[in-house]
Amino acid sequence: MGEKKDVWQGTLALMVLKTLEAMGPLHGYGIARRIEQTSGDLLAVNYGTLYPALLKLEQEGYVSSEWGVSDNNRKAKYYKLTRAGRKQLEKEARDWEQTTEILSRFLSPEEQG
Amino acid sequence: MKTLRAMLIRFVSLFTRSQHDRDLDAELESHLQMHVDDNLRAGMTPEESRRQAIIKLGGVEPTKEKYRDRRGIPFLETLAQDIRYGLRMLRKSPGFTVVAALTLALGIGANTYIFSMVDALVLRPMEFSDPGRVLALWERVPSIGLDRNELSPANFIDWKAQNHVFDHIAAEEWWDANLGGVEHPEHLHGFLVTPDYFAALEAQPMLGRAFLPEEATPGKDRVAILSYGLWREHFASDSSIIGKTVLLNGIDYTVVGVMGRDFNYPSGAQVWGALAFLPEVAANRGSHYLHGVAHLSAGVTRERAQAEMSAIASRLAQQYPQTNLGRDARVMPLMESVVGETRAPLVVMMAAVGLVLLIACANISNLLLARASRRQREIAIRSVLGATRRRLIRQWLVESTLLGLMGGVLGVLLAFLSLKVQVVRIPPEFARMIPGWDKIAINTPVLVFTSAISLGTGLIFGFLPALTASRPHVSDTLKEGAPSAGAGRRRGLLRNVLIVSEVALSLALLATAGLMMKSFVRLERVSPGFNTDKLLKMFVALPDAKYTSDPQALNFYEQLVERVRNLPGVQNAAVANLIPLGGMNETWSIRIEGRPDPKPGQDPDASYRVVSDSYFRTMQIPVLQGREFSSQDSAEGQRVVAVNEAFAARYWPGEDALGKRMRLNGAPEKKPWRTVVAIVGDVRNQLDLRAGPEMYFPLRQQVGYTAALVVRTSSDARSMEATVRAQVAALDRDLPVFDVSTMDDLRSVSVTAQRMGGTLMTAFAGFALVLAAIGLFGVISYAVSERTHEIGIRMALGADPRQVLRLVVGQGMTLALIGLLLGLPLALGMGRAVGGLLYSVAPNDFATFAGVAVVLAGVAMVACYIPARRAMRVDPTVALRHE
Repeated sequence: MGEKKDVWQGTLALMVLKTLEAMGPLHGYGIARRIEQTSGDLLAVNYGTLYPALLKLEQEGYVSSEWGVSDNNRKAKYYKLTRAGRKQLEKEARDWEQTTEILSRFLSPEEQG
Repeated sequence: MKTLRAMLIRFVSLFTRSQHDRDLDAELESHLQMHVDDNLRAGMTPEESRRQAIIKLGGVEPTKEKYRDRRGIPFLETLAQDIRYGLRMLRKSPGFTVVAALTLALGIGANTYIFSMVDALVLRPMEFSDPGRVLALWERVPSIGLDRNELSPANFIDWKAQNHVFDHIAAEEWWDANLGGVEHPEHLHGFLVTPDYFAALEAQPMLGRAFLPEEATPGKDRVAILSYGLWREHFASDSSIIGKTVLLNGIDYTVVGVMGRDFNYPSGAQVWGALAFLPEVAANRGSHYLHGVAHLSAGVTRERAQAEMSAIASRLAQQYPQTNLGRDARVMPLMESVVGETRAPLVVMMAAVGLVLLIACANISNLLLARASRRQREIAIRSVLGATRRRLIRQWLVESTLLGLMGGVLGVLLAFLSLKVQVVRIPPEFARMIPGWDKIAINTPVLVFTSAISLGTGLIFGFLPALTASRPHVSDTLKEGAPSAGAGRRRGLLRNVLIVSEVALSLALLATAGLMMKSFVRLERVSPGFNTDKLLKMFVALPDAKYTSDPQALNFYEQLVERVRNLPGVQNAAVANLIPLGGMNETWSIRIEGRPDPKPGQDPDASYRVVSDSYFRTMQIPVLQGREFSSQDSAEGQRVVAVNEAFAARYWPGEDALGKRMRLNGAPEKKPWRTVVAIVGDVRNQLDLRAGPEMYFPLRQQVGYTAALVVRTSSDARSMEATVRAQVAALDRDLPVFDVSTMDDLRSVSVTAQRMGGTLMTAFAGFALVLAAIGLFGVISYAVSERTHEIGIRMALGADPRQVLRLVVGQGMTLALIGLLLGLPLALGMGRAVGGLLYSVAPNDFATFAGVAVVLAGVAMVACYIPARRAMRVDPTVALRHE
């Protein structure tokens, strides 16, 4: 269970960073909705798991947060990407692409012969 | 880096919890609100909107929980909880806490106290950058078992010239230095050293410089280096002292340096002079009196140095067989050479206090096991509420560690007080001769040691109770009153094992203490061969510069003895070159008339004493045959000698020694034959050593310049000190008197190590005995309370109270006897370990072992009897109703 969670959390962190890069500053609820929309029903996000992940990113210095007001006038905590976060996103995205590429080559049927 | 930063933030957030909690509450609330807004827009009812939002979030509290885990450091947070909880539990049973903490305080305090001595006296009597490279040099003669012999000047000079392994090599010899030109003349403990001396010891003067190579030549050697203490006390810390002169032995010496406060080598040194060998001294290969020190060159190992020095020594042995045959060189770390005799007793002490602490641990383990039984319900409830086994164990260990730390703090306090009030008291004039004595203190290394053992003991005694206590028997325990037989039996067994080990360890300690005490008492009763009662002694050293001839010195001594003897309150007085029990001896090589020249390395020898006429009478040493020295034994008269029984027995076995002749080894024209005119009783130079051969020469025929004055008084010897000192001053105003003490004091100081060992060991063993008794009492009391029901039934069925008593006492005594049996080999082992420290007591002395076993069994009996009496009084009706 632990391992699975780690993988999931790593991916989630990458998704959060990507979301913030694409959307600019956003609150937790917004991030959750956005990830849900983008990933379709592939990932049934349990919104609650997002908050520890956001906290971790903040502790690591990749995102920063401050209180603001939402479109429909609700007080909400907004997260935004820091410079370190942007770099981290690039790095992780690159790593991710590499991993998926290797895996797909590995798993593609032609090469199995 | 990122992890570190995250860790730091998490750590800080441990202390800013409530604000973060409010922040999270607000964030989650805003999240839910937004979600509810969306759901409402999608057409849900308000209730359903909120319900769905919460479901989607995964619950508010679980989210908070996960968030918190990430935010702080869960381990530390729960640890803090455990500590708070542990403190609360300890506060709730103050009786237990106080007893346990005090027990530990005594155990840890004793360890701290002994370790402070071990640290200062054994581990770090001197500070060197690398203690393995600062060496002591000795000669050794393996064929006669002589392991450490001083160096002769000629050998030292050759060693210095021929070796390639030392970057510094130096020698030192004793130097009597009378400080003059001050109001009260004082005798200083001085040493003459060759120029490399301080460099070899990695030391530099605090002011000025060390000796220069050219100052090792006669005529240029009037230079001195002062110790910090001398500089402060006699020269008022004068920082411009360099270049000034001081009057030593009537001669002006230029001060070239002052050593720092920490430099105390050789122990007690107050002044160092330059050692310049006169030509005839430099050629002397037969007199061994120099101490060698050396510093290894970079890259040279001690083994290589030893090999090279042995090679040099064997070359010298071939070259000079008469003096050097069979002589090897020995290289050892200076520290080892210095620590020497203090190590063995301190190691034994350290082992003893270690055992005491183990016993204390076993006792507290037992108390905790009993507590574990009483707290079963609490533990069961905690585990039902979801505490894991690991968490339960940790909770117990935290509690015991807290106890250990409390004991540690109190223990340090105890050790500090013991040092402050000087539980072990040694007169300062003797203490300063023990290297490192002045450094005994509760310092950082000692505190590190104590912290480590405090934590360690907490874990040790907490371990077993934690394991058993955390094994929850939930269903059993929660059913009110149902005894959980399995767990109970296991715990009972554990407690029995602990108590058996306590008894075994106590036996070992008691036996060791018994042996050491017996040895000490025997030593105290030993007759040194003279009467120490009402005997005062003091030393004077006549400076060569002033007393230029033997008759002049002799005249001084005779006048002094005459004046002192005529004082009211004085019965007799005499002078001698050395006095017994003073820690010094001088042995000279001799020749016996009519015997062939001895083979090299097998020289006959004897202790060398020069005494005035009245010496034997004053000391009350019996003259067994022949006569005392008298005025007829003058410088011009027949050369005579008195020998002790041991001398007569060794060199003229089965013959009448009276009238036989002997002489000191050397050129016959300088060392004439002497006729034995008296055989006197043996005198011990050291209480625990039988007297060896001794020879006494009359002062008139062998004048020396340092002498002890012994005075037999008719009342308290100490009270005569001032009057006697006045007589010395009346003869020579500038002559300092030193090493003044009564012979009783000297005798008592000479057995300090044994007294300290015996008394401390007895104190530790007594403590261990009390602990074992308390432990046994606790176990039996507990067993009685657990068996009240059974005993009630037995009584109801007609058992005699005496039978019950036997049952209970029998249970306890079985444990005690098993402990005694198991402790016996341990005790024998300890006995063997201290064997070398014992005087005239065998390490397996039967009386001692039997005695302590009986004492231990008796104490155990009492410890069992008290709870057994309670068992005897059990009222069957009450006991049966109780269940």
